[in-house]
Amino acid sequence: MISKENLELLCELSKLHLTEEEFAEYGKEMTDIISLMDTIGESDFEYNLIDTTNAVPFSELRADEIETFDNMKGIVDNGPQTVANQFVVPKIVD
Amino acid sequence: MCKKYDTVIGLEIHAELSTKTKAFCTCDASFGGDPNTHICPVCTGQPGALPIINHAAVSYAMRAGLALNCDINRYTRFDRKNYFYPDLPKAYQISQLDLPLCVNGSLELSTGTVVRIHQIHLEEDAGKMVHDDYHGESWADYNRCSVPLIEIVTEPDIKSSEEAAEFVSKIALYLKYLSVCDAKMQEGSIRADVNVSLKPAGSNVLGDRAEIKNLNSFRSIQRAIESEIARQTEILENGGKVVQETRRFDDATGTTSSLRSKENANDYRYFPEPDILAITFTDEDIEKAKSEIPLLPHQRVERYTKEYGLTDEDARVITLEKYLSDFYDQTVRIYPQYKNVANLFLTEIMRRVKDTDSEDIPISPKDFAKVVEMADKNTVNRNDAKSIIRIMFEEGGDPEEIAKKNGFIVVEDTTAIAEVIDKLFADRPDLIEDYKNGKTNVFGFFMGQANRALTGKATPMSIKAYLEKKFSEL
Amino acid sequence: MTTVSLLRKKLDQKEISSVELTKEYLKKIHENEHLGAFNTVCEDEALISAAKADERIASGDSAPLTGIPMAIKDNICTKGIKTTCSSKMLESYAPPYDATVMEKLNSQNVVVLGKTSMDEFAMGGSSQTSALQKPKNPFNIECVPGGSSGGSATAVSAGLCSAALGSDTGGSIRQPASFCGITGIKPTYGTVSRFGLVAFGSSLDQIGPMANSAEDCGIILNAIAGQDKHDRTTRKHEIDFLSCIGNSIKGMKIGLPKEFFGNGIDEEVKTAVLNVAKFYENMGAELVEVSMPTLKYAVSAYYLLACAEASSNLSRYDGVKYGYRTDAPESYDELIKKTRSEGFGTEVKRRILLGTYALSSGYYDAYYKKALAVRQQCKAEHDEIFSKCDLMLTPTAPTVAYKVGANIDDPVKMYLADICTVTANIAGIPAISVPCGCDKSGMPIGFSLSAKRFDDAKLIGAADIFEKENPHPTANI
Repeated sequence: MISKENLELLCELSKLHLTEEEFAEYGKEMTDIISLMDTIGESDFEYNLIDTTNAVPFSELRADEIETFDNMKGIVDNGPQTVANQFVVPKIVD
Repeated sequence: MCKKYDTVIGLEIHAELSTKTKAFCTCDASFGGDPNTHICPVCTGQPGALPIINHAAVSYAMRAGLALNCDINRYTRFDRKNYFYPDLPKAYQISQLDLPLCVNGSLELSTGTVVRIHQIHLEEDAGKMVHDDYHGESWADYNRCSVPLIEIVTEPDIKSSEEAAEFVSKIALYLKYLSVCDAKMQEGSIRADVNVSLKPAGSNVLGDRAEIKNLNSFRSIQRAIESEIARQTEILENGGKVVQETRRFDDATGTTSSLRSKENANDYRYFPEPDILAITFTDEDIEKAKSEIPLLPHQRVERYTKEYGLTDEDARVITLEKYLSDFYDQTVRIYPQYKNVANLFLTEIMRRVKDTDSEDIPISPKDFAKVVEMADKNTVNRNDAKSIIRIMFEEGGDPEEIAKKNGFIVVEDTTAIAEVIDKLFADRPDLIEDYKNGKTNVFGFFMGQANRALTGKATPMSIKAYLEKKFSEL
Repeated sequence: MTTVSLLRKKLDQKEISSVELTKEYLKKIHENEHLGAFNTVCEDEALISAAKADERIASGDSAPLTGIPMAIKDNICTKGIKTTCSSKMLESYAPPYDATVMEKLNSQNVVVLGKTSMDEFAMGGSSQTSALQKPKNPFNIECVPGGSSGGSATAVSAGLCSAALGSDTGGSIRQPASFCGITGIKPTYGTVSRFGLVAFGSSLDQIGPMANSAEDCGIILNAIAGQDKHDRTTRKHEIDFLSCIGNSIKGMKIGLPKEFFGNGIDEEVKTAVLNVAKFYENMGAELVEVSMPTLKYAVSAYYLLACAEASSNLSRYDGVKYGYRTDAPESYDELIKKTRSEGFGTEVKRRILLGTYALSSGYYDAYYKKALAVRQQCKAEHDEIFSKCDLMLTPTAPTVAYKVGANIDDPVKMYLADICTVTANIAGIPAISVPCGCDKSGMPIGFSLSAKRFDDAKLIGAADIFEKENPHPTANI
């Protein structure tokens, strides 16, 4: 069973706002889904941090040469709100 | 007064690497540019774009690690650090957690303290935000997004604000020597987070620490730590408890204040970055990186004092900047009169470049070596040598040409010396008479007159010798 | 069914022009709008490309796909053409760049007819989580076409295009191919560039073809595969995906993993797949029983890995740079929360929450790390299996296509239905789904062949042998 506090934290971490009904519904579903996921708890395989099949030799990395993207305007034009070629958000206060 | 508390300081230093391209895309990584003109689908987090790691970024980070006595992980991996902020387009930063590139390094300070380096890892920078108070908006520019950074994480081995400032300035100097970071604090290319805690003097138990974020000058690092020590001392003196938290330093007031960790419950949900394969290194890779490490400042100081016979002070001043030390090294390679080169270098070269931002010295080591040599051999006199350097700085040109053009070349013309001095004697019998009557100070008058008349034709030394001869014959 | 290889002949022999062909397909697309296969139809662009292709064909310089009208799943970036992922979040997003596969197709002058509907952000097995068009199964429009590449499967199956691209994270090419009676292959992880494929589970996602024959799949893979400097997870390889066509299957060992033929698999499906085994045996292959004990953890491992990665991959949708943005937010926090809550559908939110849970402090070791360990074990098991056999034969899905609306309120049941496909993604191996008849209700059944990494051509060769003797079922539309 996923607790209310835990679900609230998940919503905060993933920046999702749920209405009260949604919250109840997701809470129930998440509980079911997590009990399906719990089957993995029965496994006891060792995780190997180092997996050389999934690695690339240092010498093969990309060379440090500038290639300029040809459609920067296209990127900025997609911004829902832009000013002076920058993306606008409500003022950040920290 | 007996000290009641020991200060315990750990540092996290972020340094931007001076690669041509960004860490994970081929955009120009240089500082500045009009907003959003160094961007592409990768660094702006477009759907479907993928990071491609830059060889130079890894290579620079490795060089820094090796210079700071680190071990290199032969298998290094990247992880995603997840958090939302408008300067972070993907909403995660590619960083390293479990298998960082460099581990277990150290750096010794002048106090004798050895600061252990826990790890150095490679990560990407975020964009830049500008705040528009009038409209209540913040604007995001992604030019800086994905510029490579290294984060140097120390163990809490630093014992004072002075040590912390020395550590950071030493790191900055090393990174410049290694040509991996331009270390311009005003452009934010080096920033530090500082962990400060106090413990009862002599105790082994660490106290609760406060972290002060984002300090971007040596001075503010030192001031922030001092103010934080004072704050924590006061709390402990009053029987209070230091809260473990993140704080911010205000340069204007010189004090730190709490940064209430607003939204994020600070759970970054690190996990292995699936878009970047782990990187493996061979022995040759590491040997090659080691061979790219130049002599570091402390090694140069040792050479200057022990082999070249310079004073410790002079050696330190020359090594304060890599480009100056490099210039000195190149000069003495051509003309190995270490002290004479150092003397003219410290007065005439350093004086002219120390207040400029540019690291270009407008004259070549070869020409500078020539000037020192000319002065040493009395081909020009010492004052004229300084003038030649001034002219080369201001107008450029070949030192010998300048000396000739300005009549600085000393020609030992003995006939001319005799002619000029004989005439002076003939013109002023009155003074000769004075001399005979014991007024020996008239020697100075003749010396001055002769010097003036013989500029470029004779050295003061030979003039003096002839004069002395003449007077002794009276 | 009109295959790509047949169209190639017709185009090169000038029996039909690409423009004529394109017009025919466009007409069919319009006549079948009710199938909901396309989010976007690129009528004008398609005709322009077709005219260009005709010039190239006329010059005698045609590439294998020149002038061939294809459909593209709507999660593959097409420069200037909307790429919505069937989400309100990206409903109006036109990418500033082309995916690598699109550059490769464009260099052959392929005709792109449009972008096909799908489960939102590829999260689902029915294509009904789409916030835009919801595709229907051409064999019975009351049934789902499968998912998440449902629109592509529908379009190929209904003859609205000659072939299509899909993407497969846990079965999203193979399962809809099976439901719609067509062939689809998920190539080895790392053969086809993911650059420009909107990420769901980055370590699992692969783009692949969906077509009317295995040979067509090979032709398309030859065009789109290859190491890409924009995707470092692609590997150097020189696979000719058509190289095994015409090879005999004699002496090959085909493994039947017993765990795939147990409870939960529909009897008619089981029978049909076992008949495929018999077919291959009759053709000279040797059947061997193999075992995959990690299968019992496969669904949870898959969902934990895919959703963990998705929770991170989908964090970029914040209303700042592109896509949907909520109205008049008061603060940055409100901007992102409202944007994401309004822009994402139910299933996407579920998976983001699950992935966030699996990675969050205190749960990482119990879930995500365990899933990584299962993944390593699963890879090892596959190495073991493929040391004993060349190919592995399984059902593609436990059932045939189900009715629209079924399963939708029961995520657990929906997730369990992926049991037959997810292991290929977890292990990174290639797997192909091929139709093998229909059940009593007339809905297609598919079987899957898988092989060790980079043995994709072998799958295509073996599938081709079956297809030559067993034509695909056809939908009546």
